[in-house]
Amino acid sequence: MVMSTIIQDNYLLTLPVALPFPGAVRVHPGQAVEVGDVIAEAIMPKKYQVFDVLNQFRIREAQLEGCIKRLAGEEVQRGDVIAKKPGLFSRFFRAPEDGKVVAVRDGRVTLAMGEKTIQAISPIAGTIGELLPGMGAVVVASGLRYRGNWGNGKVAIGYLHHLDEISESRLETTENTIVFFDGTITLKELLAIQKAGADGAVVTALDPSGVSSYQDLDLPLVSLLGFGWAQLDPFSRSIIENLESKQVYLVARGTADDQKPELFQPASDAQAAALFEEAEEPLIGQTVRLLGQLYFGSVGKVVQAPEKRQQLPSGMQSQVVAVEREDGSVIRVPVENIEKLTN
Amino acid sequence: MDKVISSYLGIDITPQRTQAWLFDDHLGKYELLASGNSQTSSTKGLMEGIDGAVGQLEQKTDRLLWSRPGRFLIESEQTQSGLKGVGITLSIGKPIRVVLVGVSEKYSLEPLRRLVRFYNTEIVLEISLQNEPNFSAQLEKLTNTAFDLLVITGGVDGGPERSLRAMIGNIRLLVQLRGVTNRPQIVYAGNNALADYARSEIDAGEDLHLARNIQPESGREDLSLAATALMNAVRRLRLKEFPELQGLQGQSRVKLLPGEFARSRINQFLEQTQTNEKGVLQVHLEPDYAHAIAIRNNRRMGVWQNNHIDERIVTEILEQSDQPLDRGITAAYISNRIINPGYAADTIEEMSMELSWLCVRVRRLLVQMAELYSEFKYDPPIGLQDDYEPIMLSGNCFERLPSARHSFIVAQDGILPHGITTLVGDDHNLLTSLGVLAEFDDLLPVQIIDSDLFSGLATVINVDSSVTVEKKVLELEVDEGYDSLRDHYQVYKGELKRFETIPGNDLRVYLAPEPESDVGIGLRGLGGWLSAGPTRLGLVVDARGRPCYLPADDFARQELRRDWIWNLGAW
Repeated sequence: MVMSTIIQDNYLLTLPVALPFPGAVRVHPGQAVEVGDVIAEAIMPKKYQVFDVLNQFRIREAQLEGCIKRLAGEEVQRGDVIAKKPGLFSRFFRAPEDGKVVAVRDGRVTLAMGEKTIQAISPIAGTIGELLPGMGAVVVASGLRYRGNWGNGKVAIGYLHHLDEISESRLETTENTIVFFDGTITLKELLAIQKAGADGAVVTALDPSGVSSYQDLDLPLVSLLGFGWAQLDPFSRSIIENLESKQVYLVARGTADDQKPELFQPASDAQAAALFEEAEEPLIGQTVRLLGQLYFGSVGKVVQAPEKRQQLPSGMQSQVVAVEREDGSVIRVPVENIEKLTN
Repeated sequence: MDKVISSYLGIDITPQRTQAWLFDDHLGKYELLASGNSQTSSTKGLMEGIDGAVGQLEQKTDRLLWSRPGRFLIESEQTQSGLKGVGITLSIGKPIRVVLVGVSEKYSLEPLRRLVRFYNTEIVLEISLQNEPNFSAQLEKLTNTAFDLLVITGGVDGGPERSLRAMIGNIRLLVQLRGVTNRPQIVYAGNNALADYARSEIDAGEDLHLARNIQPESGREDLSLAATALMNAVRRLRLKEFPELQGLQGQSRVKLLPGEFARSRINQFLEQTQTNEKGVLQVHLEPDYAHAIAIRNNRRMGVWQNNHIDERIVTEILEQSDQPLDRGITAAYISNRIINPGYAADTIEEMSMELSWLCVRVRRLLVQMAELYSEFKYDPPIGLQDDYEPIMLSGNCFERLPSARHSFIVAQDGILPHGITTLVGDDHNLLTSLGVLAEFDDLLPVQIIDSDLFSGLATVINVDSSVTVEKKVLELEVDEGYDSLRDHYQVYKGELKRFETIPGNDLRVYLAPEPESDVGIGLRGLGGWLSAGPTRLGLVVDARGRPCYLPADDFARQELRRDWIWNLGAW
């Protein structure tokens, strides 16, 4: 089983930045981009008008050709006659705004009017790794990453600020920062952080009583462990505390995405180790974090990893590894229930 | 002349794993030679998983299956032995964003929802041409919505055309705006008289899929007429999503199908060939989605459901559990299970949460199916009211459960079937793959299904009786076939009773229901002989009633649930 590592230096972050509709890609592979740079844009008509000449003018198909005054592709000015019904009481269809005739088919004239631009903006700085034809590009950046377990699908960039308690006075310091809170946080507390003007939040765990509500928060949010009651292990905590007041990216990928959410610190001089295959190392000796409610969030070292599958108290069969926890106790857990902390 | 041995390779790709199976007919009929299993990589592309699974098969069988990764060694000469075909099924991919366009809500949009919800789709826009007759507003809605697939229907054949024609014109414009590389897939399944007009107007080449009208005449709906067109559209979208597979699809005698479609093909075959006049139901549970397919009277019904959690699900899990569970811990466990699909339930409490959750997922899946199809009669407390046999259980979630009784209790409590039925486990997860390999040789799935690769889980007699709990509902006379005396048993309301079967021997049972008991033989009180083939659990009599009898007290309810599982034995 290939286990991805939670904390990785020289990690290559990849972030697709794409338009919802096809347009023109404004970058090229290898190009350096900054936060806010336009990756792609689509220029679309602001609105359309379809005029059914046959039915509106109540004419026969044979009369149609004489009625339509403009061809598909022609630019029109406000007030221009697009179609005219001749006769004693003539009727007109005039362009309500400046625009273009985009289709004349089947007795209907379609006008496209105005213009709106939709842009795909890079939320992070990095290099263009790959183009997504007509849609955008993949931005890559190398640096230190801390892989989370749950995100609400949003992205933020900002300076990390460690919030040790959620009180009115401390919340005042969170404006325009990415807040790190070590502990289990409730929806109410997150709403307070959002109201205080934070750009994002990275927390140890989420209070499970509001499981379905976190997704709808406007605040970009990453939970490092998932849902439950825990504090971070001292090693992880020291890594994140070292990021205090440094610029970080919060890539809060959601469960629908293929990858897990990430807290990322860009480094300009780092080597892109993730370009190379991650070598599979023997389990024994590795520092791992335990999943599951019993030891939620605690870490330890693998001291035994027999290949043979064993029966668990639940009745399931699994390869069971022995993990020595920080307090010296040794516990046995299924190999599926551990995550590798570092390389 | 040496016998020509034909081999076929099946590959199924799910978000967690890629599986491969090699079949051949060297013993005169098709058999499973070996299987391989590899982790699917979300970052390194799907070829990595295929390579791993096929590599394992090569090692196990000492045969070369591809000349280089991505190029299968297929023997095209019919007189030579070798690999004759490769079938790949895709059970992976993001939800497809769908726009539905129909003339009316009842006759167009409702059938279209049934049609597209069979796949992993998310309906992002619906346009009813009756409710939104303004062509300009229709066009604006279309151009302002990001979507991958548009399905349009409406009008009976030869009926009025005006509104459909206008919409086709709008779709033409949309296709032009999106450009060749990013245009959506379009399925036209409306008034047949406009099919050629749609083809020439929309002009979207292979991205346009024409189907026959799903409502050819007033009051008649036939979704099967659009099934192939929709499958082709879904396949093209998946190939766009996973371009690394395009090289495989381009090889001759390599077929690629969406997993949902392949599964339904086998269920359809089973329903057509069996003589019990019952439907076939399949419940497929994977860690991140569930898929149900029901075939009845040659009509396919199906629904896909992506996994999620909300407060109501947590409540249902607590009600279903056989252990006293804390609400917060349960909510945390399930939320974390969704995040970590590979997690193994470690403790008794975790297994209880796991089983309850799976059961709730089955229930929710069937509720959704009943909402879509009025002829699928399912209501959570009452259960499934039509006759379905067999009921097939497949997917990684069933496969990982520790024993047959665990799979049984999830399915039985989730489905609550009526009458007499058989639960069958697809232990090797073969159904999906057989669905695509049937394209090469239809004998292959037939012979594999007839082999012992599918394990009968249990034959179930569901007793429906309105009597109060602990009153007798059924007497059984069991003939084990050893010239021994027949044993007599009594079953009381509220019981779940199991009778073992012996491998190789059918268990003959005479059912003598009480006058108010219905055992699915046609009338209340009517009994008769039943022959139950050997299955892992044997014959199970479910006399718990519909709704299932359960004490109101939490502790008593949990204890009763534990008793039921205990009665199913250690298997």
